[in-house]
Parts: sequence; structure tokens; C-alpha cells
Amino acid sequence: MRYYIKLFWTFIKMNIKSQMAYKKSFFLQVFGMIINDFAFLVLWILLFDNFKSSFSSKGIDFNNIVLVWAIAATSFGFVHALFGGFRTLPTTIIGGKLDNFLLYPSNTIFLSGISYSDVSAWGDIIYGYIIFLVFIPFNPLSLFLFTYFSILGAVFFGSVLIILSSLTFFIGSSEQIKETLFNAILSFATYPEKFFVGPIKLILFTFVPVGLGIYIPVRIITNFNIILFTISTVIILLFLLFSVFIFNRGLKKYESSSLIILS
Amino acid sequence: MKKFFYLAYISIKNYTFYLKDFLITRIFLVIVIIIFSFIYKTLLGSNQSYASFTLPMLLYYLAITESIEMSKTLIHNTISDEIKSGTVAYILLRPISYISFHVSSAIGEITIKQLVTMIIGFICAFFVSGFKIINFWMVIASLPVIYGAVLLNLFFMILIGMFAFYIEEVRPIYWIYQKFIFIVGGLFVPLEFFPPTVLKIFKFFPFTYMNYFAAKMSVKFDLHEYIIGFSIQLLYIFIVYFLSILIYSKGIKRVSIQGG
Repeated sequence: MRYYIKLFWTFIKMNIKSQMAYKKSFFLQVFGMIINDFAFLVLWILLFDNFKSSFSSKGIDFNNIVLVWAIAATSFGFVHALFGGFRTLPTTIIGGKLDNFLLYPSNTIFLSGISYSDVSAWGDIIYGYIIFLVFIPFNPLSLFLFTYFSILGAVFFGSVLIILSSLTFFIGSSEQIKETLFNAILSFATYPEKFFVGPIKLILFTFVPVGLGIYIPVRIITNFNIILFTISTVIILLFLLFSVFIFNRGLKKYESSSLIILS
Repeated sequence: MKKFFYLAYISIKNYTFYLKDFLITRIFLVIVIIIFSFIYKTLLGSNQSYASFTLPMLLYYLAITESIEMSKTLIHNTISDEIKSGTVAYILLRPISYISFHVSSAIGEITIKQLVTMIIGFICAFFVSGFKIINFWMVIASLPVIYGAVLLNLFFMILIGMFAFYIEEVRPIYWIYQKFIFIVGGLFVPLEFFPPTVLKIFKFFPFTYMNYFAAKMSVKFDLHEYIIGFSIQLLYIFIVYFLSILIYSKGIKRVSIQGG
């Protein structure tokens, strides 16, 4: 465990260092992403101005939307900034680049994830914390829960990416399927659960488990409940184990492309 | 002229080769329409309509805006990469201008993508709205403004790509443009859903004619508004096109390429 923590820390430092090599580009991308994310908030502000009563009749208040966005953006940011390699996993598998990671005496999926970091994702993290601190009444417990569930949300998004990318082992490139389904899950993750009713809500808590990764954390931060806290933690960790299991099953089918890199 | 059509034809051929991948990505459109059907129901509440937009109209509106949005190619990235890597030099040797080359290469693919996506969106809107249809003559009449919107978006993305002559990374500009499309372009909701003052201001922006206007005319046709809007749209197409040429002709002088 200590070895992986050390490895994790070394990779983060290395990734940040290489990103900071182009300082102007780094800050442009980070601030660009923050402005980009704020646009969604502007959209909701404009809609709330006109449809306040429609929203309140459904029990949706503005803070509700902010909290969903804050958790979704921060979780998305964490997984892409720290384990950005998951996003490009199908290309890595198809291109035979997994060979590079298989040679090391460390977990393959861990290495393939941490080997790349998306610069703009730091902007998502900063944005998430800014809107949380500005709009949600501050107390240490809610800040702790927000950070905790953002990390757990990142584990959820990471697991989804691993499962969808692992399809590549079985059906050939799953790049398009992964992008489409991941974006769909992400879309559901940015709207409060109160919008959805009927069978769709059931789907969001089962087949497309956005409910577990985003909606339940929002409920817990708004109204702390130790049972829900434990259930969501356990289920997301089981989901991670399941994704690793699928990856390892697929890895047995992996055929090296004898990739030789001359540099 | 023949060479432009030939480039467009090749881009259609290239794109339809990956038809399966294209159709898979359209699942996202189906999901977006389902999500927004819930949001529209919340916004309308107990009312049948808001600003004369009923639920079926809103769903068809979304199908059109999304078809324009989802048919884009990331041409700004291609241009930016060509400028940064110096590949732009190879295109200079061809008997076609740099901008025309990219417009012709992209337009074939975009047109096919937009048409197929719009049809899929309409089918989805038909089922989600409870088998309601809109007046399809309005959609046919609005095709010029729909393809005007497609063209305006394409030129704007080329313009974004041209900034690579001056800055290292053009992606942040694209993100901000995209978010203007979300809000000012009325990607998810018609501008009438925003406060009236906001609508008055947004009407002057080019983004309004990249999405909102075409979709609105398709579901709520008004000849007077159509003529004015189409004229503004054409004006913006020319302005953005000439800006691209201007930035390109100034920027290309800054490029220095070694050997090859």
C-alpha cells in the first residue's frame, strides 16, 4: 500500500511538472475550463429567474443544482487530473501500448490510469470548490463530506471508464461506445435527481448508477445520514472491484503488438 | 468549382465508411432528449406551453439544435495542429486556398451528419412527445437557415483554429465559444425562456444564429422574423469568413518552416 501511495505521489509531481513546462498553456487551459464550467451555472441562473415557481413545485432549489454540479465537476476533475489515462484506455489497448505498463512490477490498471493527466481537469476541481464554497452554507462537516464524496465520485467515474474501456478486450475498439455512454452518464450526473420520475429514476440507481455516485452524496451532504454514507461508500468500492475484475478478465485476452518505441 | 465538390464527396465517403461508429454516438442524442423531456416538463409545470412553445415543439426544437451541434467536426484542432506542426505548408502547394480546402473537406461530412442526426432526433422526439408531430413544411422552409447555421458554425470554428498563429492553445477559445452556443445559441432552451432583457441583448450576437434561430423557425415559423434573421445570419457568415481570411493572411507571414 505504501508503495502505491509513494508511486501515486511521484506520478502526480511528475505530471504537474511536465504540464507546468508550458506555463502559459497550463493556465490558459485551467482558467478556460473554469469559465467554461461557469457557463452552465449562468444557464441555470437565467432559468431560475423565470421559472422559480416551477422548480420549487418540484422541490428543486438553486443550491441543489449547484451541489450536483460541484460534486460532478470535482469528481470528473479528480479522475481526469489524477488518472487521466482511463479516458484513453481503449486507444492504449488497441495500440498495444499496454505493453509498457505490463513490464512494471505494479498494478497495470493503476499505472495506465496515472500515466496521463488532463491539464484542464484542474480547472474542473477549482470550479467545483469555488461554487461549493460560494453557494453552499459553510461548515467543516459539509466541506469534509464534499471532498470525501468528490473522491468517491471520482472512483465511480473511474470505474465506469475502466468497464467501458475493458470492452475493447472483448469486442475490439470500444472508443465510441465508451465516449457515448460515459458522456450520457455524465449528463445525468449534472441534473438533480428530482427532475426524474418513474422508470428512469430506477435505471439511474441500477443500470446507470449515477444515483449512487452523485445523487446519494448530494442527499448526504444536505442531510447527513450514516446509513446512506456507509451504503454508498461500500457500493462504490464494490463497483471499483467489479471494474478491476472485468479489466483483469479482459487482460487475459490482450494480445501484445510487440510495440517497439525508438526514441 | 469541381474540386470543391470532389473534396466534399471524398469527406462524405470517408465518413460513411465508419457508419456504425457514427450511429453509436447518436445514442447520446436519444439520452439528451429523454433528459430534457423531464426538464421541459418541470419548466412548463401545469401549463400547456410557455412563450407559445409546447412540450412537443420543445423536443423537436432540441432535436434540431442538437443535430447542428453534434454534426460539427473539430476543425479548429486540425487547423491548429497544422499550423503548429508546419503541415500548413503542404496545403499551400495545392491549387486551392487553405480555407476553401478545409471548408470543402468538412462540409460534406457535416451536411450528412446533420441530416441523419436530425432524422434520428425527430424519431426520438416523436416517441418521447407521445407521437406528436410538428408541421414539417416549416422544417423544409427552414432548411436554408439550418444549413446557414451549420456554415456559420463551421466558419467560426475555422476562425478559432486561425488563432493558433498567435497563441499556443486554441482549445479554451473553443470551450468558451461552445458555452456561448449553450446559452446565447439557445442549445437547450429557446431564448424566450430567459428574462426578456437578456433576449433583447442576445439577439445581436452571432451565436443566436448558429442554433436558436434555425430551430425556432423550424417549430414556430414567422416569415417576417425569418427574412430579418436570415439576412443577419448571412451577414455574420460573410463577416466571420472574411475575418478568417484576414487572420490567415496576416498569420501565414509569421510561419517559418524548416525543410520538409
